[in-house]
Amino acid sequence: MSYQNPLIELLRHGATITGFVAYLIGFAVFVLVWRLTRDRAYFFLGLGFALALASRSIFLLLTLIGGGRVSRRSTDDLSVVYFLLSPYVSLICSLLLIIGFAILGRRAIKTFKSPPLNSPPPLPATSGSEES
Amino acid sequence: MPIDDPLTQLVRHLSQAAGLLAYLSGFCVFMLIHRITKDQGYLLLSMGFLIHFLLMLISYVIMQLFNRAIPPGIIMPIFLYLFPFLQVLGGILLIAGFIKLGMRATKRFRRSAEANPSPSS
Repeated sequence: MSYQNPLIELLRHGATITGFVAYLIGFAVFVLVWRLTRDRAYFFLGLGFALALASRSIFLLLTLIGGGRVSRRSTDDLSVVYFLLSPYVSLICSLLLIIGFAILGRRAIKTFKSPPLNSPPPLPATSGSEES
Repeated sequence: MPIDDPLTQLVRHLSQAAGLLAYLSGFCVFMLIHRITKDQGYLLLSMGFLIHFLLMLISYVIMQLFNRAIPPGIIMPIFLYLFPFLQVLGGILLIAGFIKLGMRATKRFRRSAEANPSPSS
């Protein structure tokens, strides 16, 4: 089986591009919602997505410079700095996303537990039918 | 080379664990919001996060099991074909969900801007 065929290359490039676009739109949406609501959960999410987007942009740039391939064994300065810093950057983005999701999740759990506003009030217990 | 020193290795493991936790919490939060609001956008986002979480978990486990040298056999085609395909699918789901949320946020943003025009304009 050949591991270097056009389908694999297409899928790999597709995965890179969709990931990049997803981060870009996610960043834009979270910044927009943060501007709208001034909610710090969306601020953390937007910041996390912005860092991830920056890291992925540098990776794409390195891939373009390297002719479609980039690895940890690359010796140029930019690649060495990127692979040295990328674990730290991705740790910071993941922590920012966790903080944002934790704030959103806490609020969502509270909303989920509280009864909806338009639900009818609980019926009072009828004395005659239950005490028979 | 400083890339393979113990601190960087530790940070790499920590960042992978934090990435897994971020994807999992994204899935849980968006699924919960979908259960509350019954909005399809949040469902798309939660499915996108779930796919990325599962891919990251499986690739992490396989990499640890085979010590970064995947043997040719049944696992190699999965890595080569199925994983990029699922990554594309997860990315498309995330894009669709974010577009749906973004369109609604833009409408609300415009409506609030029309309701409260700035004094300079």
